[in-house]
Amino acid sequence: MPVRCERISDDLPGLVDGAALPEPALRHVRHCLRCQAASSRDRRVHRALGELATQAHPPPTTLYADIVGALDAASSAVPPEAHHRRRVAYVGTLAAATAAGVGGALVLAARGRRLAG
Amino acid sequence: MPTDTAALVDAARRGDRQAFDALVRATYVDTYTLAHRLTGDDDDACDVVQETYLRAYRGLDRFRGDAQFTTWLYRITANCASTHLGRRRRHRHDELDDDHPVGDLRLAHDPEGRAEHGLLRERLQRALRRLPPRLRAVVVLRDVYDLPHEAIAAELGISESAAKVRLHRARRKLRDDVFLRQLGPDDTEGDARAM
Repeated sequence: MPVRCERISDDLPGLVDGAALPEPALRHVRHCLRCQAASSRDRRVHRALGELATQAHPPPTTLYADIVGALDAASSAVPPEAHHRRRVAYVGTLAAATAAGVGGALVLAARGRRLAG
Repeated sequence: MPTDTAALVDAARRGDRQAFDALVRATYVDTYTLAHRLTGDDDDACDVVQETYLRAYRGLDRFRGDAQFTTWLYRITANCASTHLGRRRRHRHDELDDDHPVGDLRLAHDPEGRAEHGLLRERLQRALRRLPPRLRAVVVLRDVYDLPHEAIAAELGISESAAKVRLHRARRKLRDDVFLRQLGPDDTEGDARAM
């Protein structure tokens, strides 16, 4: 069955970045001026889209201050270093408690030995 | 204070707010440009940008440095814009201002070529605005910002194959809009005139 333009029209834009078309579809494109023209337009649009990456859309003059203000509000709630400080305090407390427990056990063991002797 | 991006990211990770502010200063124009392209609206773009930097600030530990910081930001921006537009659940079809100042960094071309190219660019910007946001997001992220399909799919919450289908559909709509919109049924010269 011959391939018709309509059947491959949704796949045609994939050609601009190297997507593979089935062989019958490729054969059709090679002989169809309409599909070749569409593919050529796709490539032009694709190039123009790529060039948009170098164009900046100017933001409002207050945007930077707004972003920093929002960050200030957020960081005054939970500054990232507070997480770190909390972690350090937690680990320190745990270590101190462990050391106290071990020390206590040693003292009790020594006292037990003295009483036995 | 460090000046290169990697050092600024490291400093910001250690809780240096000034370093993060410097990252914001270096990237917010590009982030706003992307947000504006995705939302098509000044106010929406500002909201998306603020949300993007808040998420980036809170999630700085999750940035592994295997991608560029800007690429990571683009992904967050895409996600925020998708969420924002989803919340709004309405499409905007504002007219594009004719006086958009844009900084074209390419080398100057001959006047005729520049005029032709300017016309194509203008039509393309209009066509982008007319695309439904779901299609616009995919084509902007892929063809303008060169994000991989899997990243686009992840940030928009769709499958990779759905992202590809949307991309092809968006490209086809753009092509038809840019080149065929003003062609009448018997007007075969319009295409040449347009370009």
